[in-house]
Amino acid sequence: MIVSVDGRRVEVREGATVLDAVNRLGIPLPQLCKDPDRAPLGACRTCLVHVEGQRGTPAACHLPARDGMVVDTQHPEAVRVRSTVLDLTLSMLTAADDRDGFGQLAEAAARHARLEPSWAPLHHYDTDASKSFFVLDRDACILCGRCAVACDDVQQIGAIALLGRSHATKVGVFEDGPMSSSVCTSCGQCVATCPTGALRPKDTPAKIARTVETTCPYCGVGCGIDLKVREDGQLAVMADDVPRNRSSLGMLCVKGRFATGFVHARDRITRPMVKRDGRWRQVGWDEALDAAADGLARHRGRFGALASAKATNEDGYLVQKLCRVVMGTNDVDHCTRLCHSPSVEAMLASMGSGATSNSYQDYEEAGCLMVVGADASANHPVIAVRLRRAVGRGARLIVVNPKRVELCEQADLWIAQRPGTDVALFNAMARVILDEGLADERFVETRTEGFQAWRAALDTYTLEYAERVTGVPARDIAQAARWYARPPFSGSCLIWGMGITQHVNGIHNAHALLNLSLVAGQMGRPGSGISPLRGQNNVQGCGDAGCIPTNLPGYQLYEPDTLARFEARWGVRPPGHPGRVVTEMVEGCLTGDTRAMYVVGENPLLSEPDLHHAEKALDQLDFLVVQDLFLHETAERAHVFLPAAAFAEKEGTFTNSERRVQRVRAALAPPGEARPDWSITAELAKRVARRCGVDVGRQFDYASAAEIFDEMAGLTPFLAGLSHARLDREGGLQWPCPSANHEGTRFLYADSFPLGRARFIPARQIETAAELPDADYPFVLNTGRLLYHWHGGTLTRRVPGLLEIAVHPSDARRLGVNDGARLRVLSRRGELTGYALVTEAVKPGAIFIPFVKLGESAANFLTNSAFDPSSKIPEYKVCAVKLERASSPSE
Amino acid sequence: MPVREAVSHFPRERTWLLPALHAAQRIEGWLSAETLAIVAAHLRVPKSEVWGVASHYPELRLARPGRRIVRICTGVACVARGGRQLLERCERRLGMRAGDTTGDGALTLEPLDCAFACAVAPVVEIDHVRRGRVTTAMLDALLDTPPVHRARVPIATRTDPPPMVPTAGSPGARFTMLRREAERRRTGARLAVGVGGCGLAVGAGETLEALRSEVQRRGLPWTVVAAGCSGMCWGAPVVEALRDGKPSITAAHVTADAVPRLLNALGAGVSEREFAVPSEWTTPQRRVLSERCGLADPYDIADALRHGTYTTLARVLEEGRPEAVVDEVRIAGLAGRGGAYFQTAVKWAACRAATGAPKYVVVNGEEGEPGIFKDRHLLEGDPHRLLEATLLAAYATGASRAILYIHGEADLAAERVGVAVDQARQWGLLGERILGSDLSLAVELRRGAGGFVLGEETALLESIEGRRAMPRTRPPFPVDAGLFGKPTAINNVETLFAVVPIVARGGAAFTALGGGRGTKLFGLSGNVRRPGVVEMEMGCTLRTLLEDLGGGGDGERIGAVVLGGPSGIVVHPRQLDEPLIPRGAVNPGTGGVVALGDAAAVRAAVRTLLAFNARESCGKCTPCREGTARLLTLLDDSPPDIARVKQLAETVQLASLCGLGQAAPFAVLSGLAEFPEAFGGVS
Repeated sequence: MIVSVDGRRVEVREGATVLDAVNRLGIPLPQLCKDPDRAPLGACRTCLVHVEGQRGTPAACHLPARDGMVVDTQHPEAVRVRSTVLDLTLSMLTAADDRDGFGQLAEAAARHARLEPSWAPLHHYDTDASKSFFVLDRDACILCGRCAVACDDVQQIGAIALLGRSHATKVGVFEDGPMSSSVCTSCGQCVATCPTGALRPKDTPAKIARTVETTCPYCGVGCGIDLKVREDGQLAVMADDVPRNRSSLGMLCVKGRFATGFVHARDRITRPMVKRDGRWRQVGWDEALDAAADGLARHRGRFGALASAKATNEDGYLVQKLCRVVMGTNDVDHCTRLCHSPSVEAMLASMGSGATSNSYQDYEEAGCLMVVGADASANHPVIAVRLRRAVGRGARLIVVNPKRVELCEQADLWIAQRPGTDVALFNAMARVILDEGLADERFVETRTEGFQAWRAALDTYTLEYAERVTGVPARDIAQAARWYARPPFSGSCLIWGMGITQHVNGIHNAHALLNLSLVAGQMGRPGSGISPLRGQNNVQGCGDAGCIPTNLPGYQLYEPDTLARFEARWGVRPPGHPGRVVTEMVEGCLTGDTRAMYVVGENPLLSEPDLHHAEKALDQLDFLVVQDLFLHETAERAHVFLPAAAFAEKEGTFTNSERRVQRVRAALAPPGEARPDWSITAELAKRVARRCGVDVGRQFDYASAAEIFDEMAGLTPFLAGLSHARLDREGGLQWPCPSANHEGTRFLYADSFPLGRARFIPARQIETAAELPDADYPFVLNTGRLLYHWHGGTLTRRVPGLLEIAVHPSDARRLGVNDGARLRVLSRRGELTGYALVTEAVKPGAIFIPFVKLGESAANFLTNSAFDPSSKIPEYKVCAVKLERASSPSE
Repeated sequence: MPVREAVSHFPRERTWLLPALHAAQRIEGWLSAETLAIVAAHLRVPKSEVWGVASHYPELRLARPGRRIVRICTGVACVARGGRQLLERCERRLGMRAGDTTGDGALTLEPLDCAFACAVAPVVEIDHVRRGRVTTAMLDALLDTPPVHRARVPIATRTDPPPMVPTAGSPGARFTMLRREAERRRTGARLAVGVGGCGLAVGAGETLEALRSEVQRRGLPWTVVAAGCSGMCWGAPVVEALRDGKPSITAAHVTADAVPRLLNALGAGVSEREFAVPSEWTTPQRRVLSERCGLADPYDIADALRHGTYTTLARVLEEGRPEAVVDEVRIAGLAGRGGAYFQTAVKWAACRAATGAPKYVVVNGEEGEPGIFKDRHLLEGDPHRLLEATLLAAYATGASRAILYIHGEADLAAERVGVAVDQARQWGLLGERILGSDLSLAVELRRGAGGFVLGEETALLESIEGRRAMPRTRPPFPVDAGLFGKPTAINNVETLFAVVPIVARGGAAFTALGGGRGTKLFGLSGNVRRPGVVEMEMGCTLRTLLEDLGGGGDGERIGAVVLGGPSGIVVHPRQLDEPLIPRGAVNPGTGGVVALGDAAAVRAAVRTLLAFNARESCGKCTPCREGTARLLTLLDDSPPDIARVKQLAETVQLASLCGLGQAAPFAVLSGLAEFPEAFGGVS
């Protein structure tokens, strides 16, 4: 369509508005309430234009463009009316010194020669500064409603809304209280969209020199973020969202929006360091790398490496290559051991792939969502948005969690089983599905094997038995089974987190869940699937890249053909047997099997269970190289520290929970002498190789991360069609993407499984937990994460905070403690103190502590190192503790 | 806790937000934060959003009211009849300001935007009971009477068993069986008391009770029923004596104490002439839409069937050509009676052609404009005709769901429609495969919570979806993407009432009236001797309405007329002979006709209307939200700066998102143009 605006012709697509045409020509027209990425609201009435042959002054934002339309933005009537509307708008506002004008509105008013409003404001409000990162200043608010759309429709949080009516309308929260009293999660979507600065960050405004689109460094959702680099070379506190990102669709949470500033943290280490006589000394790169190479080469054969699920695919690929090519070992692992190893192992055994089968889009299209042992609102906020949207569209939401997580508020059914009784619960659900004829018989028949043996193993799992063991009413178990097997529409998604895996029987839990999905046939089509929610930004990619002892890159097995293919590419044949997992490597420190370690971007001395034990083990090491941003607990014990570049300072890729490979781009140069991980690892590999007499030729000579990616893609069939150049061109793509013209894969298992048929693997309800409460330690401790802290807090805990211990009101009463009282928690392994948070979110007899380390307290001083015998995951979720009142610091 | 219990019965979807809030408020009298949190949790709507919605609708209370609530109507008709003086008297007597609650929580005094009983103005509501034609002496007496907890008089008494619904045969054959069943239930001679909103305010409820007990005591062969109102509000309470085969007798001013005299007269075989209604009232009227109001028993579907209701539906279903329904409506040229006069057939054809399922028919019975009360009159008087029309609309548009949206305070209308829906379901006239045809219709009754802007169809849709009543941008239009994003046809009650005779008698029969435009209902109120609801051919004049039917000014001459409520205009007496024609020189709008007296009354009326519009602005768009408030301050200047008023009025008209804002300045502009002297100066 061709439209004429102010005498200039412009072509617009079908469905475009007149405002689109105006904007394409760059003609300045105020459009205060129009978020460029959202549907028009039609509220501010400032984009008024004149259209030839049409009476009045229509608003361009919701006026469909028609071929041949003649639009005049400068028509006297349109200008006059627009100017009066701007006057009315300006008359709502109160100028003040701490405001940097009124953004777009000030510019538009100036263009219409409206500098002074005709009226005094009808209302004055105090600025609400109750949130940490931004203010709500209603004296600068024009009630356009963009923030309410961002909060309610985009983020599905609903913390802020328009309140009241007529000119007394205002932006506010429940009970018209302060922002901090609301459910606001500080995602900042409202701040990003506010056109006048009524919602604005607390940091001082600064000129932005450039923006760089990259991928968020926090959880596994993999949101697109636009980093804004200020003229002084620092990142602005607030990052922008990326609406065209297919995983996040323009959403972000507080961490992605406001917490990228850790790259500028004052305690960032930016020069290589070597420890001499127990003291750190800054040295040059050569000296540090030589020292590191000497130490590692000395212990070839008694060596292990920990790669980082926070680093890029390229970084991880080189760490495992160093191990396999130079050190001759498969002893390389990463943090997935501590989170989803049971899921991955169970899925590998059952289906042959350890990845999430569906896309986020499938959550929104599902008719039933069963969320097990996961607190998505805290840990994967943007996925939680997708879940809430699904509920809004009528999907059934079943939450299985002993703790009352935020999603319970939305749930149609909340199942609060006794900790550690998951297998009984899911097996009983499977029986309901079978007994009531709800199984997908065709799927079972044509796509699976092992059904009969599994079915026989379910005999004892009656509803009565399950009710007795789990404490969940039989009718709820049956209801969940019915909804899951036969959702009201579309399919069902099964979503789970650490609540399933971090148990001594983690792998049984995972199998019980997978069997449920198989018998109901809930995978391999839109709106269905199985998803372990991945914790770290690149936990998927780190495994894909081969940083696991059990498989080569791409989950390829140690089979002769495969080994030969790697040998052909690498020049060295990788060892042909599985290596040790991280928990075994740590145990090896005590037996002498591990003498040296290379730890990249990990802090096991916070994340390992039973920290006293772990500290003792690592102290036995002869040589430890740590490569990271900060001198954390593990790094303090190292012999060499190699300063790495942060996500914002390097090129590469992350792979998110929906298997989407996305670009990471450098917005800043690394500070000081810090370098990208891959270049450090490559340099280290060459030096170790030289000392060990391994000829690596030019194997570690890379000019860019893109080259590393190409090598990895060449060895990994499911990545074969990807390259940095293609990702730059097309945006993130989902593997499997086997060829350059393949568009990626939305969901797995449409026609077959990597194993051919999927396998039912019977799961047994074994002992509920390794350590249960007794007379001395009467409480069950559960650990997990919080929205505002990420994992152990290496990145986020540089924010002041309190360690809160969630206690049920009845227990608090018995202990005689109120909200905020100091509490001491003791287990057989250690103790910590914190503040009581009295809440019904936990059950009587249970307490919850986030595993972030605040001050000198970390929950993992208490937890048990007992682990699942198969996947080796520690039992973080259950241990026995006792509680005592602690005196306050002043007493 | 009863609120938790009541709320838990709603499906956990946002669309039930207003119904849940209504239910909670009915139980507790207001909505506490705790209650709102319960509603939010159950419906899974964020708490702040719930607060946003609850604080948006004027009829929802976020503060605990006094144990006694006194509300004085300050709508435009009541203001013309001394409503504001009553409010001021209350303020003086009670020593409090309107809008406040006494410190001890004993009493809340409030102005009421409109009680929609304009024909019996001024109206006062105490303890949820409305009283009309209130004098200061009556007000004093009402205030002095201690609160009495009165059980509501059950107006409906029929408990007829449902019939056997025929399960075989064509739609026509099945309907014939229903008709036969209705005939079997004939009750004989009836006394129909005009129990409408207006009538109730002046004692019709008491008349009904007295009549029932007196007829029973005397053992007379009359059946006493509560009917709607014939429109003769000026004569309320009205009783119609309906005798098979004989002309009916209309008795006016039958208060409870006049009941024995009426029965004596009827027993003595008086002729209907002795009760004759003035011919000036009856002769000019052309009652097509309202033909059965005041006569029909709204609680009896058998009565409706006997009088031909649903016959047209049965015929149409028998013929099986839904497009024929649209064709008749197109031939009739029926234009929307909500005031915008958009072609109904165009809307229906577009909805029919749109893709998407299910499709919806929404009946806009929100009627929230002070000075007009005709939709209530129709709903109270003949609810089954509404259902028949809704069924025809659904058939014509391909809709399978209908929402009947009725004003939150129109309890009587909602009750009667609710009973009608239940009965129609029992008789197989609503639900699945109606009369064995391929028409299925699920009907839901929803209640508003105030808000003039709900007359804007997209604001109404937002409200049904559980959101603040704020208009949407267009396109898309509701016929393409309306309720829940599905094709939706929204029609005003009066429009739908016209559909039945149009389809029954053909579109041409309708165009034979009113110069091709059919008939229109008008509400007469204010300074007239005979206020009420009348049905006239379109193109009649205000003079006919006010002088012939209304009997002229009541106590003073008619100095001006407010026509069309808050979106309407102020008309000068010199225009009384202009024909009332949509888009003509004098546009009838929704049909509210409020006669005023002198210039002071004009200024008071204009200010009342503008203040109402400013209050009722939903707050979404800047020109309406800010502009109406600023216009009001300009108007209060003495004398007002006319040039500034006009410039601002132009912007509000041209720039506002929806019809409320676009029409909000009409009253001011016409007032200033026609009555400059009322605003203290030259124009």
